[in-house]
Amino acid sequence: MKNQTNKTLLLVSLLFASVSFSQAKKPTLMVVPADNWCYNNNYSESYDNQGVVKDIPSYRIALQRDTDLDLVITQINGMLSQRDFDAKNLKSQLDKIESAAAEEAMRSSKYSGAEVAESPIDALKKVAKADIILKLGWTVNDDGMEKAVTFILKAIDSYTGKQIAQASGTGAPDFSSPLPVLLEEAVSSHIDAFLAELQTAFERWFEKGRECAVGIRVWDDWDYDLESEDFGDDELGFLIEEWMEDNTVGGAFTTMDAEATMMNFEQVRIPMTYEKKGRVRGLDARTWAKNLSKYLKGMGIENKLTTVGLGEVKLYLGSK
Amino acid sequence: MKNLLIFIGIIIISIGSADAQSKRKRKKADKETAKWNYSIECQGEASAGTYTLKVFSIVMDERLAGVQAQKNAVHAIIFQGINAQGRICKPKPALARSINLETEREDFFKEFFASVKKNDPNNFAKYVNLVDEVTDRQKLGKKKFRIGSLVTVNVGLLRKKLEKENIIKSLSSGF
Repeated sequence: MKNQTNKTLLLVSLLFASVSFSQAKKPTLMVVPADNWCYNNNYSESYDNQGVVKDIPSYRIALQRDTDLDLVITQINGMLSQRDFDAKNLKSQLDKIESAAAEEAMRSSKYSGAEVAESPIDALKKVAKADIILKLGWTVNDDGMEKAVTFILKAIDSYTGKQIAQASGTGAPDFSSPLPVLLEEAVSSHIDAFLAELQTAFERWFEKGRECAVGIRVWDDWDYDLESEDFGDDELGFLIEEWMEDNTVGGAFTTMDAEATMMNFEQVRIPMTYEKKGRVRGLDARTWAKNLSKYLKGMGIENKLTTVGLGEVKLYLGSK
Repeated sequence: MKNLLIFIGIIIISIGSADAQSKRKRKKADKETAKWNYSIECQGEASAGTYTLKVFSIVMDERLAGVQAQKNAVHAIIFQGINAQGRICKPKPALARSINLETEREDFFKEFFASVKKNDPNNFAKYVNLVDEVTDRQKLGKKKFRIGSLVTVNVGLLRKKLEKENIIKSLSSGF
């Protein structure tokens, strides 16, 4: 009888595993020009950061001035579509951000005339975002007779900032083909190896979990800190670590900092899916950290959960 | 009347013999295939997802060189990947994600590489095109030849086919 139950359980879990394998959140991809390519081609803007003038790459200027860039982005997006991965289009994303900003600037309250509230933090976050950013750049090597293109394409996981795939190299020298043709050749000759690396990274996510970072902070008006022993049989910091151990794939995470008022965890491997109301759903860093927030609330610790970028979550303990 | 019957008899016998001969030829080709005795040189990419390859096949029967070259090219793309060739060709990873794929899905590949008619939808020949049957010829022994052939392989289509048959995983699988 027990054997029969075990077999049934195994079958059910296998069924769930197979279902969950097709339910994970599909990462969004976007191709953008690499920072150094923008600087080298003077596609950058200067801004005053509290008295310090800083240069930042401007995707808008790059797209307006460089027709080859649009060509290469379109070609890569097309190849991703062929592999069932629809990448976000950089130009459309920038247009969307601009029109949303214009709309909000025009919007005011019907009665009081008040404008839409936007904190400086919110304004800063309004940049083109994707789970995986594909950064591309190229240089043309021209010796007067022949031209050759050195091409570089990198996939950066926005969750961790880690490079998960790359393709680079110099194409065959050519004396007659125009630059767009050389660029097209460069993309098509590199893309298969690049996408194979990307697929390896995805397979690793399913096997070992998706990496993210977690930060714990304490409001200064809170009566306790992470060394307090009022919430269980150990210090709060150790209780949080224990929760992390139980809720990460294979208990994989690294405690980078552990002080009385702050803790930082990196390489936190979270599962790709979770089950809710009988349905297997895709899991992201925020949804996963919500469980930690609930766990702390269960101990009577009021907290505020925020996300930094796409793969970093911060919990502020003491109040909302 | 008698002459007509003899004539019909001769035709039936010759058709039967041709059929048997063609079966023998296919059997021989499949036997050669099982050895996978070849080397590949990448010649470039005609367009995105279509590789141009030079295949050097070691065969016992020269007449089988063309079909064997096509099989070898598809085999290399699925299981071995293609090495870089100077600046002409960047390295191409194998479509197979597991080193044991060939043995794990033996039945599928046996049928896939079988020497049947080209219009069979489950056949390798749909994805490969023979450009030049013999570009190089070298006699290695009494009945052993090294034949160079030029082929193009539509890797994009081949990948789609293998993904559809659940032989390999697609980039978006799991999402």
